[in-house]
Amino acid sequence: MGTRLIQEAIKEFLLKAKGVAKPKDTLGLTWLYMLGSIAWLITLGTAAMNMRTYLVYNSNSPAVGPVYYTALTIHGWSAMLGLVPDAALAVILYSIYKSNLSVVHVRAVTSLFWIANISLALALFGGPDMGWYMYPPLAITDNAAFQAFRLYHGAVMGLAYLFLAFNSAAGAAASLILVVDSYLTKKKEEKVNIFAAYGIAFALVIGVTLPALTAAELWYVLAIWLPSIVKVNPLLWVILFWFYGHPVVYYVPFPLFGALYYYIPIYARRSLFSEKWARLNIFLLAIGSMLIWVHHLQTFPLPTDLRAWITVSTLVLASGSGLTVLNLGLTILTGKGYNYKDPLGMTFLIALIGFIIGGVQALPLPINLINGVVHNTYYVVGHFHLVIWTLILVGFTGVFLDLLKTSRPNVEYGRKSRNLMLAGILLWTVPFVGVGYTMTIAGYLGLLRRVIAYPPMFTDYMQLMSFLAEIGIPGLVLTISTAIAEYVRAGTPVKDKVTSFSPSQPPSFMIERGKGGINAVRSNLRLNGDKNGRS
Amino acid sequence: MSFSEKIKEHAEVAWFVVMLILVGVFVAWNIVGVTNGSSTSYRYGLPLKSGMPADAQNAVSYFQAHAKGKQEEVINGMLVVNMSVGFNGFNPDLVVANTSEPVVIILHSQQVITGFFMRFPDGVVNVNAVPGYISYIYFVTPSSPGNFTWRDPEYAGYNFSYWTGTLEVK
Repeated sequence: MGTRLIQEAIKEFLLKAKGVAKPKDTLGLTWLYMLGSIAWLITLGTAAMNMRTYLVYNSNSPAVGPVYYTALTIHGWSAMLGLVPDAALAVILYSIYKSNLSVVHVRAVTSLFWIANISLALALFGGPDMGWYMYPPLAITDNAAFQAFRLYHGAVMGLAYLFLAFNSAAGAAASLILVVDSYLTKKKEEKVNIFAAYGIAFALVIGVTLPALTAAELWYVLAIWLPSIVKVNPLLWVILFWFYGHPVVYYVPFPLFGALYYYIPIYARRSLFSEKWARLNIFLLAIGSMLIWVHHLQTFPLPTDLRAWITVSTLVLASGSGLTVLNLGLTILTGKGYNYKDPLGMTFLIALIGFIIGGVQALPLPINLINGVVHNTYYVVGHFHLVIWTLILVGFTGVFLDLLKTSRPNVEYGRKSRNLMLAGILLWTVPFVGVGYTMTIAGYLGLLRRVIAYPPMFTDYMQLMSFLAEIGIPGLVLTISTAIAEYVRAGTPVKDKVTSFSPSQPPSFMIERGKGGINAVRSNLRLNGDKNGRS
Repeated sequence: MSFSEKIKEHAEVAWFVVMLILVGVFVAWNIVGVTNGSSTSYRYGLPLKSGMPADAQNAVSYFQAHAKGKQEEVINGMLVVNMSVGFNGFNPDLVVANTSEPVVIILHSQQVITGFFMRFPDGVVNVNAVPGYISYIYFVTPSSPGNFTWRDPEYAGYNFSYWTGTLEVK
């Protein structure tokens, strides 16, 4: 009896897993990319905490280097080549869904998801240790002093970079398909909502900039396989890389700006202060993000004229970001009392505040004289991690919470679960703001990034960072696990009256099961909104 | 559309344009400053020869033309040091200078991308060195004696954290 139950449970799980792995609609694709993001988040977080173990150990030696830098690269690649594109596409897909658009080429996008993620995993299996931005020629070095991959050597290294090229090319292709499909499914009489406007615009930015990474990776492939013919010019390579490398930091934030423009007015109980600003802003953010690469290279021997250009492009981007903050800030301040007690309201509020307090640290960075003080220090690490921990991860959590409600409209965040989720968000945010600013101060004082040995004066800073991180991690786990628990609970047959839900179309893999969850509810309730249940 | 709505609509676009004009004015102000030399924002501190003061550029030109094989030389009161950095760290890893002495370091990185990072009481020197290119570091030593440690700020191998050097100011 017990064995049969287990077999049935496994069979049912495999059926559901198959449904998730081969989605049939836009919402199913959103789930696929969302779960991919979470898998990379777990990987990169594990690697990060492994690194912190070494960073608080006071007797490191050069022998620690290979292990530490492998963890560092796993952390970086999982974040920038795994989490970021998956999370960006998840948010963009959800924005498309929320604007009554849909993906036509579901199978193609699904295939590209698997190509991108499996390729990255295959490259990671080689034990890369050159750091996420894989500067040349370190990243193609394979000798007694340094091996770019712990396990891959010689021509196999070229194969690893080919896998990475598949990873980035698949991400770019998926983004462009979303742009085309959005265009194909847009109804003439309907205006694309602000969430999708940002989503589609930045899908285009991804589609334009990610190929620069593909080109850089293919350059490595050719240099490894045909060393007598193809050489790598390090300065040209880093310029090519940063043409992708700067915009990539906006892949998730800018679609999330669309989410903030969409959700914050709901919780501020008024319309967006200026939708016109929000839509005009897309041009500033898109153009600015693509033309800003040199501000990562201010300590490199580049011509003065090229360097001067970044003042223009950075200020264009900064003005767009400032306008976003002004627009959303005025929406909240002139609203009818912001509903921060709702977990979604809280997540998007914290995402906005996080962007402000993390973004402020970036303002001095484009200025050449100041940049040299903090370049390659923990100041920069503190800045971008703070934006990741707040705007990206908390904002992403907000989208995830809404996705759960959309997928199962009878999901109800009751008082107890709301309190747990709010406590979790705060438990995550407060310590990690502390980590971010501790990094910033230490960096300003001269703590270099990526080092495993540092002056004794920074020991306390390192321990404080690790301590605060240990406190904060359970916060996000608490929020997400509570939401998932409510989602699972809502998946059991509903006997009680459903008191509230947000009407939406569930993903196909849930509808087809034909029992429980949303289906039980949908059979008894007529949803508001259009025929697809979208409001 | 009511009058107040018209005002609001124009105000939104007007502020957007004004904001871009402010960006343009700020950028133009910077470019004028760089062009006429009243602003040093883009030049000093750059790892370019043109980013150094004229007397430092002259000293480097003289050193490169005459000091074949030498690691350092004082030229017109300026200490010029020829330095390389690779998988074994910096060479030389000790520079001795006088107080308030201008110093130029000609930095070569032959194997991988590296850099030079040193904190003084009054500021930071931080440049990158790229294989195939020469980077130039210019600074004036502090006015009081002391030892200062420089490091490689760019990840360049398993043991790059241990690549250090000492500036001894007498």
